[in-house]
Amino acid sequence: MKNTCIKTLLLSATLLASASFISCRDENDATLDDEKAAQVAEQFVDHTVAPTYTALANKAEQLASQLAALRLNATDAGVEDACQTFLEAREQWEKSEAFLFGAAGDFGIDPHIDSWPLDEDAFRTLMYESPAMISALDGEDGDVVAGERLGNALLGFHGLEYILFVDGHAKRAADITENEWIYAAAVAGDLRNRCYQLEVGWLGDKAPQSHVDKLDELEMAYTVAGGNYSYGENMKNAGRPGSTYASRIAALMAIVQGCSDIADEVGSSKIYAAWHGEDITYIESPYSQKSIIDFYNNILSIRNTYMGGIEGQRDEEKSLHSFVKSHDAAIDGHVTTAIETALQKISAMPAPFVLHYSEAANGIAVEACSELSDALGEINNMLRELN
Amino acid sequence: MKKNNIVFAAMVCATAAIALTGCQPDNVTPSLPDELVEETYAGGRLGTTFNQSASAFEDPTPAVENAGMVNAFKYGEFFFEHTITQNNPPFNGLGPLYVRSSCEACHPGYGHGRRMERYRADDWANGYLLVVYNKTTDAYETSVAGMPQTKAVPPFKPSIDEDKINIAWLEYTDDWGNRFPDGETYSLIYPEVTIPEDAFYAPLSAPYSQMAFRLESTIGIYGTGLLDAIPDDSLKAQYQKEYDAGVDLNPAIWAGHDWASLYGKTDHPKRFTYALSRGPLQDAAGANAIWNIPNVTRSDRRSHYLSLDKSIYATTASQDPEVQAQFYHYFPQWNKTGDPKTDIYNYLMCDTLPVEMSDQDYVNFMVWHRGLAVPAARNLSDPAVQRGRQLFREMGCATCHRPSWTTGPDLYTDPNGFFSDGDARLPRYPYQKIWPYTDMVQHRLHMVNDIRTGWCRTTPLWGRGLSPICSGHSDRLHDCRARNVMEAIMWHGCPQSDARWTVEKFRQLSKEDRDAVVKFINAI
Repeated sequence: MKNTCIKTLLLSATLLASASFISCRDENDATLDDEKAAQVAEQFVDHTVAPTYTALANKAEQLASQLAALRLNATDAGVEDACQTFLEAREQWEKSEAFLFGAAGDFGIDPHIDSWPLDEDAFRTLMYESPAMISALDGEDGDVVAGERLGNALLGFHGLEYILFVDGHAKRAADITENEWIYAAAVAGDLRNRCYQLEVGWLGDKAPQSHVDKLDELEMAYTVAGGNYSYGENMKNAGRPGSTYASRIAALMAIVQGCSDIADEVGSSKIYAAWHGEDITYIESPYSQKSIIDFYNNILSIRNTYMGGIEGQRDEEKSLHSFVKSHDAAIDGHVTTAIETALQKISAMPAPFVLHYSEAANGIAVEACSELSDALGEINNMLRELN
Repeated sequence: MKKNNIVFAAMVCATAAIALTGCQPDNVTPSLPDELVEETYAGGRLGTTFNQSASAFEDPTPAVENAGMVNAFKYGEFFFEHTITQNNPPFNGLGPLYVRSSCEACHPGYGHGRRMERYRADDWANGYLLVVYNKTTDAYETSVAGMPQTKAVPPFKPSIDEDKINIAWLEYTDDWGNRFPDGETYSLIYPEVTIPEDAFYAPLSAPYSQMAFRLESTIGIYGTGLLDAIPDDSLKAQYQKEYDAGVDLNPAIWAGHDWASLYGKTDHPKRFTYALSRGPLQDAAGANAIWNIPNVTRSDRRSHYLSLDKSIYATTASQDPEVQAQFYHYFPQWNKTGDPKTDIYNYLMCDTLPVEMSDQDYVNFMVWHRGLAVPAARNLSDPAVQRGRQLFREMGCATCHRPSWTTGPDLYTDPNGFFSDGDARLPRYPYQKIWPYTDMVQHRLHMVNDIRTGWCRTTPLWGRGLSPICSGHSDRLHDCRARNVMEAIMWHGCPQSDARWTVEKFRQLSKEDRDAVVKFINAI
């Protein structure tokens, strides 16, 4: 899949081309880089991470409210609305996967809300053999019971997806049982709580007070290593005492690594495992049949991160794109082209993936994601020399 | 998991480029003395990643990439990262009892478990394994597993009811009043675990009053392939050297001039786990855990992991009316006789169970396990780090935290027989100089509520400074009682500790020098 020799040659050429600048940087250059890196990190926190997690928290909150209402009065139109909200929340989650480092990783939120496959045996046991647990999930603190007792294989997006969707469409309300509604309402409450944790984790006291209060009530952690910093402050204070980032450039490296990691995962795991292995069981989001949209949104998370903010809040002057371009236009060109190519090739995948997983277009998308991951790797090689 | 950059080539190129331009910034590796450049490659040229971000413990080694095993590595990684289910392929086979349903839940960010206030199997980053043993004999209690399960799939019941387990964190004051001579203070805490008798499902094999309970945390997985590549005779030489120097060694492992015991029926020494219970990696903690933590059978392990005396759990479950009433409902294929008591017992005791994890999936898992790279050492050009490095050696820390080893031909072996010696399906690390900072030998710290037996293998220090970034915490030592490096050092200073003399020297350092030692430890 990946040609190490070619990659090495590209890397060598890149380094040789840029080494004279890098190795002879004077203190003024270093200071300018440092200041620019601080701007990039701040823009990333405030205009990529913050709006994405805010939107995710709001959508998850809306979904929890809708499912709580549907649990009392289910209608087909209500299910369709909930499916739409589910997809909108999922869109924000997938658009956050370039920054799974930090709160999502430290608090185990990624596996908590996005594990797959659903454990269908455990689900059946819960529905038909566990009246005490169903009763607990139906209680006032059903969201807490779900989060603490169901285990990751019954939680999160894919549990809700299983309730709401069948074969890519919204289920009919009549096909969803009473116990399934109890389960869905509790799991959506837990999903909301975890999305609050992401939001408050990064935004700190800039997050809505009601969300902070909810986490405090549930005694859920949301600061870096139990200290005073939010994840956003931790990144903005890179290089200062108390931050886990030893330098501002190290913070940029973390951002780039997050992008590289998800590009790699989309190509070599999410698509490749099913496509190459011709094994349908490796496909995420099979019930809503929205896998390709997930992949696309993952690459959009890279674009938002690299270009300096989400659409509407973007400032390319304070972007990684600008920072990299000022040091090595060739690397920046490689990355920006690779982002757009990956988006195009994923768009060209025949949908739904679960029915077309073995087609050749998927292999082309894998290559595009690999190219993007490699291009992002070039940035970190460059940053390492600046660090 | 993420891709390892081709760092070696990058460094070579950078070196060449800098030489051409004739100026050397003092913050890049090539300007370091040769010795420190070498140490930067903590896992050697074949085993190091230069990723310093949150995924730094997750990269494949250059050896994996060179061998064209990246895709196998990623398939293997799936099994580490994903939650195991009862019957949903490809991650199927959970139960009947299980310790955890996910590997990563215990190894957050692929690293060391986190200090926990409670024991819940589903709590993220809870890397604790319960240790239940007889305080008179130090032997594991046989009515539960060596790693007791607190989870079960229906109709079975866990060996221990985890809701009844209590972890209390108690304050400890050391000989020096938790104070350095210059007045700086620190605090020390340790866990006291209690499990009431009624939390146990099966009858205990000895009086409850003889039971003791401890916690042992997971450690990072990266670099274990490199440790496996250290030659047996190098390990033996280390034991002999320490014995000759008068170091107290575990008589169960070393008998003066030769091994007191070897691993199983092999002629290989024990090298993995705190208790040195495991030998070659291919039959060590990871190869074992992917079977017995979720209880997923595979072709070479077609039985379930239950109580140490397997018949105790099987008998108890087979006689449990509630289990009997539901067994055929959940396991209709095991209705062989119409007598649930007999069928439950036979199911639990069976050693020819259907295979749940395919051989190919297991090979991929072991590619991943043996293929995890070690993060490069960082900031070695920092004068404070260099000062800390010097003090670390001068004070004697390096006596047990041996800085480096050189691997052998790495014709690795598998006591299980699944892989042949040096099998081409797994990555290898021949003749690499590596920097794990462990002597691979057990020592004793004589801490309050110490590890079972008191003997604990020196834990590798490599990469641990990245724990806050990769795992979200700084906790150290076998039960995570140390919340940072300083506390970990001071726990080495108990009155009878093998490392007491070193800590006494550490205490006499200036604050600046103490901080330099900490900085160095976080840099490697």
